[in-house]
Amino acid sequence: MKRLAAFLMALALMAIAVLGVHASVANRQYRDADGHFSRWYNMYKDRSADALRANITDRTMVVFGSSEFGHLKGSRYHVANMFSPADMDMEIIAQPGEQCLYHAIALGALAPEMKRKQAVLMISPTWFRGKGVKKEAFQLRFSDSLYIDFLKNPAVSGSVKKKAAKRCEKLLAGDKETLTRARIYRKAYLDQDAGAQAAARVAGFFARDQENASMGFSWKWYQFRNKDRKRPSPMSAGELARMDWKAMRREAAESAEGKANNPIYASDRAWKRGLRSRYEDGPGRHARDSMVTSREYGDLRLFLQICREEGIRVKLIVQPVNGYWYDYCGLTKDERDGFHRKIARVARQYGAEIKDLTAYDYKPYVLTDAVHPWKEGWLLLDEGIYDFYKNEETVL
Amino acid sequence: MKGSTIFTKMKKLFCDRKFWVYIMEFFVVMLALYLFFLFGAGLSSPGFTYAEF
Repeated sequence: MKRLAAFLMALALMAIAVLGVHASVANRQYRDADGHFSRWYNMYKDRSADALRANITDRTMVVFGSSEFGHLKGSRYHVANMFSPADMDMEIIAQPGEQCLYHAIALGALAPEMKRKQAVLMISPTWFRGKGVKKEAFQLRFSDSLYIDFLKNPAVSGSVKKKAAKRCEKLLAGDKETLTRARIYRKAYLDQDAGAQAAARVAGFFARDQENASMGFSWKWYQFRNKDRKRPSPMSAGELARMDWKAMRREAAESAEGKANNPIYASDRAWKRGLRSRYEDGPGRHARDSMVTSREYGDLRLFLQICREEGIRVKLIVQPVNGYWYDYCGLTKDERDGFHRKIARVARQYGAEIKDLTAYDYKPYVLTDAVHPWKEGWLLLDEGIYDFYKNEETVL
Repeated sequence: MKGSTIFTKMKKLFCDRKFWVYIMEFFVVMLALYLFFLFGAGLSSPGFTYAEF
């Protein structure tokens, strides 16, 4: 009896605590005028449609990517530090495992808010190796709120939604709970099944609330941890106007010289941390992989089709890979060239701009490991993103 | 009379140290479950490895 009373009392206290959390954290508008939130690299942020939407202004260009944004975060070369929000208002949506399908859904959900009608998709060639995005990665990144808002967006055609829903449900097959919710949302908002609408509203309410609460807590914790941290100063407007990208890249490469003493020119740190042991396992680990038959191409087409339907101008930036590493692994230049030709074809079909950085696959000091940018690598990406943003600025 | 009995029982319960210990134990478990519900995705997020390469 005592235990039962204690349990009920604890439950009541918990209910009060949860209501307090949701009143203070989950239902706030996360509009951060300084622009830090929209450049924040965090998985909970990327699952909260409300927070992402709140930080898109009339000048915001959305930059979609993946794990590269988690590298050299404290460096002045990182795109989030290189440009002030006044010079480039951008929202970064990027986490490991976020690939074309995730970004297509996010784009479809956020497009109505994107008044600037401009987006960049940072493509990592490794997305297109083998079958495409892994189920586990997709399940981890799946956001109910983004998916619901995507399905509800009237500007996205039914055929695109159907294809995206079919792909989602296939990739969510190992996660029964999330799959069940995804099916309910599809029935309610795509198939217009009246019977599913109530369930979709309830499931969506709790899921959105959970996503906002976890994002809210994470943001508060991030602000607490970083309140005294000095960020690198962004380039001033004058510096940007006089910018000599080549000279800056030369300087960045020189600063990395002597720090890549291994056969593949990875940074010594990355080499010691894990690449060396992989290298010593022997060559040819990717010899059987194809880069031209992946389902990722279909997901990319969905992304580009949504851009077309929403009137969004998009630039694809195809990042370099470590040519020495992938040659050693058996994913030869010929195979990779096949990927580059196919990507260029897809971009042309949809009228997307493309910047292909293949030429840097064999240049030392561009990448820290097999795929992630080093200082010079970041400058290549920065230039591609900024040029696109400024080009639109002159058009506007 | 009945009300007074209930009130007496409740007073006895709230003055019982063990009662509050039980409340805290249940509350901590519920809080842990709630935090897992909020941040579970982050906990299952794999750490970076070079296996992908």
